[in-house]
Amino acid sequence: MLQELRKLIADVPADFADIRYEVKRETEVSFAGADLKEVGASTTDGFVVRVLKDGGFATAKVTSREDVRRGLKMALEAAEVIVDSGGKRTELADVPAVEDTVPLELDGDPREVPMEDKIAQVRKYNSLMLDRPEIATTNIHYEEVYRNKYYVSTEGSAINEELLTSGMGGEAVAQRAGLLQNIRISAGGSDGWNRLLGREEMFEERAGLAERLLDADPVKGGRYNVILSPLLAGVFTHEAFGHFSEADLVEDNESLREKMSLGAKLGSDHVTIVADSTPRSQLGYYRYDDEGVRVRPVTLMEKGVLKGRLHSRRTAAAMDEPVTGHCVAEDHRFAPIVRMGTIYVAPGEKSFDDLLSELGDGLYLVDGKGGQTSGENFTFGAQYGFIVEGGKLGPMIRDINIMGNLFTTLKSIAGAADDLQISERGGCGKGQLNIKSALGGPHVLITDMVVGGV
Amino acid sequence: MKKLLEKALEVADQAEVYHLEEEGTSASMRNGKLKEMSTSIQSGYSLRIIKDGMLGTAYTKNLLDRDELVANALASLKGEVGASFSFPGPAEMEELDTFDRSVADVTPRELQARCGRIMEFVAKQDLEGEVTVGVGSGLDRLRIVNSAGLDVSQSTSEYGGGMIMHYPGTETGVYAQYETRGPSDPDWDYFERQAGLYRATVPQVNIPTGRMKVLFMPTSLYALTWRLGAGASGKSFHTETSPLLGRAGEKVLSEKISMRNVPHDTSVLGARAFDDEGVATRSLDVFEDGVFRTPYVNLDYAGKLGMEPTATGYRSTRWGGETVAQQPVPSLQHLRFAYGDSSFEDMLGMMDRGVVVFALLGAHSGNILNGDLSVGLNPGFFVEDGRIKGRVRDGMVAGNAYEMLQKVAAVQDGPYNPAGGRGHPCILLDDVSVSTRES
Repeated sequence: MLQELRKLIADVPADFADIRYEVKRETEVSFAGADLKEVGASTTDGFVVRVLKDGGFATAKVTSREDVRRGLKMALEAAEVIVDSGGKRTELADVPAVEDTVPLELDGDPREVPMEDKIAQVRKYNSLMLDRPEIATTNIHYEEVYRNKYYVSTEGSAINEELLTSGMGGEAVAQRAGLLQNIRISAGGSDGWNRLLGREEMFEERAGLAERLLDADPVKGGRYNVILSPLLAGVFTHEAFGHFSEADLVEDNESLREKMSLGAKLGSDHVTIVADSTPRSQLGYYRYDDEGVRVRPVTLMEKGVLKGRLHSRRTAAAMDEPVTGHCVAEDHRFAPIVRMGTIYVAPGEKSFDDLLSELGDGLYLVDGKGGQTSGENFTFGAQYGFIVEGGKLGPMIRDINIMGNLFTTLKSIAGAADDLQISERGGCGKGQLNIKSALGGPHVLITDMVVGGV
Repeated sequence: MKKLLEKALEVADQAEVYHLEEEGTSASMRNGKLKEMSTSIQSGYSLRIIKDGMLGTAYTKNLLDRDELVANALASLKGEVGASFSFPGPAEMEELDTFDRSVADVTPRELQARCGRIMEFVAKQDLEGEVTVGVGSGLDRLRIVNSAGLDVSQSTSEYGGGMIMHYPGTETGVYAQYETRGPSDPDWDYFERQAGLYRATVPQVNIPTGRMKVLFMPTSLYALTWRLGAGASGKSFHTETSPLLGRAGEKVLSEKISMRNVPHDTSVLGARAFDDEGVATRSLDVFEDGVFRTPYVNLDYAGKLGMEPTATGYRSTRWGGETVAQQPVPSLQHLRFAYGDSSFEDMLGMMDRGVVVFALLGAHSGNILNGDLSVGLNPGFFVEDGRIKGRVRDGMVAGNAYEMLQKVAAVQDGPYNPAGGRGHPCILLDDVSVSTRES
């Protein structure tokens, strides 16, 4: 395949061209309550080409091999229009040409597990939840995504990398007298099937939490000091800071670039943030990004000082910073963009109890319920929480969403505990869905947060 | 497609082939310079088979091997997913004008020129911040054939774009969008109104936490429709988790609220003569004068609930999902709030103190089925004595969609955006919780 791809771009009249061909096989088992709703495995494929000519940079995504030439022609025409119209001149940062093959290394290959066994495993977890007295329904699914990626550039790179992500998750819905409460469940990763076994306790515990939420009160809106659980701290880090560490979001905004210049003190001394997709055991693992650059760990913030940024070759050249290997596409339907992969707040030295004592009165908010960012503003939801009085956990609360501004909130982080946890499933939707967007952190204490509530 | 159907019927009792071809080009400009251009040429096939009352599914992008696709669908039968329906046969369908051939001739140079015209407009607007402009065109062709003799297709063209006026030093801003079937300029009057809205909201204001009037613009209404749609879905009725269960015919919202699915309205993009299961579409009143009328279903939930199909089965995707990879689910793709009798200016005038929700963050993270929402203003505008005073610093709006829509002060007398926003009006609500940094 690599040889075929080389031929397809060999005679492209451009300064640079690359092509990515990808085969993707998705397997799904899906339950809605007790009903098995969907079972299947399907294979798709497609091509993405990019050309750089006289500084004009353009892309084309095509399904069929017969359309690759047409895609290249349209990309070349678009690149010329960019140049002719005085548009943005693109340079690509220099990187070494790489020839490599990266096979899977799994603890149990889910592709070898019969579909019947996958259905049985999901059914078992699903039944454990449905058997509880106040669980009205569930939406639980198993999802397995295998990607076999081939990348070739006119600079001589030729890489074949396989990736596989598998996970189980969804929600349990509890109901009492017209009130509905839900809780999310997730398990999975990039290292194989076996991590999905023996998770009965977790599924039961999550269903129990959904039932407990029926007795919780909605949070009262206002300003609070809060402790975020490790996974919620991860959502906060991803939404509040992570997206702004993606260089494509700041490269064209001069005033933001100034605010986000390396060396700027943006956070408190308690904040160290790292992006590291290199450990194979993590959901976010990959070796090469989708422009053939090897990913490396990046310390984005150290004790509140901005130290690094995540880049594509284009943004690295534009901002004169080193490449990091973070230009990633969802699949063969998309050109790659800058994505953060695994991001987490580095652990501190305090215990959770220390943070509770420091908090005194406030809220303890647990587990993420989705977040969103737009510019420097962000929101994220917590699945549940507790009122904290005098450093002691009090009544359970629900319906919690937090809003903040990047530049004010990072300075409000008052402490980090020593209990790092990284998520097992992801799903960041920055134009494309990144199911490998792992996130995490320790318990984190933040002052003065705006919490929405009725 | 016919060959694939025949092959599937060699092993199945019923079969359906769904084929979608899509092609499009887009351009974006930042600070007056063309930045990116991208082309996409995509296609895909989805196969559903029914054998011995069980449903099998499979999909692919390149139809290189029909046998493999059929084998994948056959293999999925092992899951024993029950099929509570049969594929529909031919039916009389509305002829809709959804295709403008001239979109096929749109070139990258034409898109660049259109971006340039919007930038010329921007240059005259006295805007403090930076501006992003984007324009794109696309066409798609959908065809569905099935073993009941159905063979329907529809071609759709789309063209449109917009501008984001960023507040100084931020990426947040006010935007103006338009969408049409063929190449055209925006409605400049509407763009000018949006530029005025931007200028009025550059100053940031602190407002106290409290309950006040809140006006949802079409760009933020999805936070409410998402929740009502989840409650009215046949899926929620089947699992008996809908807050609307057993309440058909009951007044659950203000009498000012009517929500109708209008698939044949070609004044907005996306009009459809048939849904993604080949069922002929028709208008459907979901809420009428505040009264809940009916759940909406796909074929599966129609069968499970013993209902007639409502032609609302769509391969609905969110966050960039692949259409052919999705199975049809109940989906209100053409939902529209009925218009009221107040102009936008009238509605502002009704606000002694309140917030306009232009755009929001976090609509996906509440307890959607229960109707709860807690969303960040991004941006939201503070209104005092009927005048916009600026954009709210760090504000959130929260409540329950069913309760919020019982206190409706006014509904706009037409679409806010003449060529976009799905034709929705603005909706003004009384007594909504707003949280900020100020107590």
